[in-house]
Amino acid sequence: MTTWETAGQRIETALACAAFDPRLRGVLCYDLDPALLPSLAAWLADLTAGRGTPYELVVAGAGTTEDDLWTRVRPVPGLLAGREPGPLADLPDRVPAVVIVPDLAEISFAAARAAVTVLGSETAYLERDGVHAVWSPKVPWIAACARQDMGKVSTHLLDRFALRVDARGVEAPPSAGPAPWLRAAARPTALPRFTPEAVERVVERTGRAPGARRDLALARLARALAAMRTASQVTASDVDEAAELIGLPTPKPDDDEHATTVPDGRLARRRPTGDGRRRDESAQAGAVEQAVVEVPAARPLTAAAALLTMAATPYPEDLPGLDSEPSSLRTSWVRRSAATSQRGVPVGHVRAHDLSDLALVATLLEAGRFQLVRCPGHFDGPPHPPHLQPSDLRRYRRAEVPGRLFTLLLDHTCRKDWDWYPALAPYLHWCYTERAAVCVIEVGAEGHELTARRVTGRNLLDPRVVAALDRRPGRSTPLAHGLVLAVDALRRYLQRDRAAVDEALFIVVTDGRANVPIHNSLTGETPQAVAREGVDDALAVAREIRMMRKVESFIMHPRPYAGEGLVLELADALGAAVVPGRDHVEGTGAVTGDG
Amino acid sequence: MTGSPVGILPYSLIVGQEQLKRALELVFVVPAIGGVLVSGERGTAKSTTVRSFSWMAYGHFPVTLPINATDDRVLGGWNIDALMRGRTEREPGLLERAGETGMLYIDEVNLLDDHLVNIILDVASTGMLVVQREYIDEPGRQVSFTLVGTMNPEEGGLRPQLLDRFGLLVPITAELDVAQRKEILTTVLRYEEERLRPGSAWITMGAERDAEHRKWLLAAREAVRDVLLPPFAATLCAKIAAGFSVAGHRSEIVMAMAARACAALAGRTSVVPQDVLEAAPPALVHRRPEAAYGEGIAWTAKDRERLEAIVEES
Repeated sequence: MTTWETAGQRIETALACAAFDPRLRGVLCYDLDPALLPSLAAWLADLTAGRGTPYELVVAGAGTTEDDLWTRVRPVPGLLAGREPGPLADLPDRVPAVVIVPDLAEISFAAARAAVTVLGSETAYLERDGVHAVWSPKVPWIAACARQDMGKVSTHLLDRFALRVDARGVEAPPSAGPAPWLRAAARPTALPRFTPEAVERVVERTGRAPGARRDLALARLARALAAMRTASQVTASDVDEAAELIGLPTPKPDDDEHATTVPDGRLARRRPTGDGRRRDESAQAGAVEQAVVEVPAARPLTAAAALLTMAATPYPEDLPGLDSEPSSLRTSWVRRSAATSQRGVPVGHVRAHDLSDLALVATLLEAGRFQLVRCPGHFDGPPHPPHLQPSDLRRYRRAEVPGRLFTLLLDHTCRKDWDWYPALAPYLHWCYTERAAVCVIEVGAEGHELTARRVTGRNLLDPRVVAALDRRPGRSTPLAHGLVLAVDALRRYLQRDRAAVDEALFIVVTDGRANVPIHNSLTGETPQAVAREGVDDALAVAREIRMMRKVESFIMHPRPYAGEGLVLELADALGAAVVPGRDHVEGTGAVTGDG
Repeated sequence: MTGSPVGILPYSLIVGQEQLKRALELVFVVPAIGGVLVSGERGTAKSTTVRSFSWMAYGHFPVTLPINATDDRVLGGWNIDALMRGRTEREPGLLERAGETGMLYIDEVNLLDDHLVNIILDVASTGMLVVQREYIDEPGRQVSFTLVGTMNPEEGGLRPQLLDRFGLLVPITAELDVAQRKEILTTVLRYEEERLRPGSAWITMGAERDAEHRKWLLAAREAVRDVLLPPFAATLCAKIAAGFSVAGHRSEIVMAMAARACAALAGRTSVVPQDVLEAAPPALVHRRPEAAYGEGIAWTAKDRERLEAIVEES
């Protein structure tokens, strides 16, 4: 018997569990209408803070900055202003906060890093702008995300959301506040104890999950459900109910092959491929029986998005071939000049003519020199604010750094005996002299037959770049998957947060012979009869890159002449110029794909 | 000693993570080893183990450098409120505080801003903290601390220069053994129940075990001064480093220091080959050429065989 009958009740039950146990306060709602988030936050605040207690609603969106979350300016009696910890800090005498994330796939870099820092941590630290604070995080985060966009979310960030529920079908906010019995249950004085069978069932239900977080999340959820029934023990059936709440399917014992419904509706068999560590883990952790759900037809879906939509698992990051953005929480290596952004490291101060990027200490010290001139008894009487004039204002002088990105897609299967270094030399030279960040995507490398792989580095001197250039070829060409990884990388640098890149150079070294459809890369299923499917998928992804501004694309063809069918098709889709790779023959210079 | 006031599982009750615990203990016994980097998948209790160790060994939580830190908090600066009142009050930075307490813990070290990494590198490599910023001009002061970092390799690796500053590296993987996982689960859940009970006998028992453990570590730290590194052991450390094509000499120096710590913890007065065998992997794993930028940070069965072959040859 479950405590919910509708999708709305399911969400309310999940939020009540989050109120009960602060360790469950990262709540991810799949396919939730973001417009419902404020009312859900109010409902949860009613439980955590108490009815009528004011709370602060914090929106962690695409434009949220670190200054919005970590520190803020406060008025100080007798002074102009001071800084204090921001809304994420659960400090005594603070109005409690609830964070809502309208779209987890588009969350800003700063907010994602903040989530990783506080969610699921026993203790959080703040050491910023002269402010120091330590606290035990209890602020709830409620995030919405479309299932089809889950591939865009960092697995590191996803892992912080302990409680995940399917919110499809929730159309209205909670009609009333939480019931009185729920309010009482949300403030535990003692916790129900686990029976050995319940512990056994937790490990059984989570399968071979990576790390202990999923075991703990399921167990805590089961305990919260038991507590809400005022039970003194957590039983195996509580664990089953918790698993049902988050949509965790029943694992098949010792079954290496799991049924997977793929986008075109066929039933495929997923096998561990041994294709890299991540894939092995996925296969091990893949105690996931996919439910069949209807693909919404309102918006055309890419193969990856369709797969995600159909995989009704609470842990979509386990799907093989779904290469969520690696290193997505690291500070961007690509920076633009100080004239237009505040990204560069401070290297001094200069006089300011407006209030942006003020160097507070330098400003105060500059003003300090004139205090006795401006107010002869300034330091004698009771403390009062310093006397500031516009001429005192100082702003940071920041290091200028280039904002270039060099993206290189290498199709190893087209190389054969070709020495591609001379042909690539001008582009590598550009990359070095511009101090551009580097993203190398390898397609068809030995040991990686079905998926492409990507490395990003701060500059050309990263040893992984040379290692990639010298890799031995494999036998198949997952070009479409390689282009998907390129799209992700380019989007990250060009479109997210305060876009750091002024110019991106994208070089594709290939003969265009793609023979692994994107769906095989994502499912790990070995392709049978491919025909043009791999090529068509690659062309579809290439068209997405063509739409991007600030990207200059070239296709380098391994042959001495430029005009071969598949390459020209790809160049046309990509909007790229074609460059012959070896033994350049006079008169066969670059040919634009458009032409 | 009692359980920590802000609540953390007593160190002696932590299930598994034996390699990480051992590395932290070696560095406690011989601080000159220079710190520990823990590289592991998400949800493997890296931070919990480090913090719990610090509480057990030092009696307080480590000075922690979070990824939201700004350079004024790392290096130290002015108290802004005091400055606005016309007073100049220095606010010590995290590096200074770490120098006083002995440990600097960096959670998610690979997510740290590059310029902060450079600052830490400068201080860790020279042992001097020089602050010349925002009208502060302080001559260098000696600062010494054990650097402990945790990182999730999914977010990329570290520059070789920073990797090298960590004396030992411990790669952590998720526990897959079902019995072990059940034990982890049972322990954590029990801790959550017990911490709501004031004066829990179980937590008190853990704290008592921690106190015993600390005594053992302190005794080893005292005894390690008299532990000899025989010439054959020094030669063995050098041979192992050469056998793994490690650049520089830091690996064999760290290996020798860690071997001495192993001997002290075992109650011996001289290093034996088994100590070197135990000390070698965490001293070597991140200094091999393939480990640059986070690739190849794993100690495989093949590495183990290679190491054993070198030890046997010697």
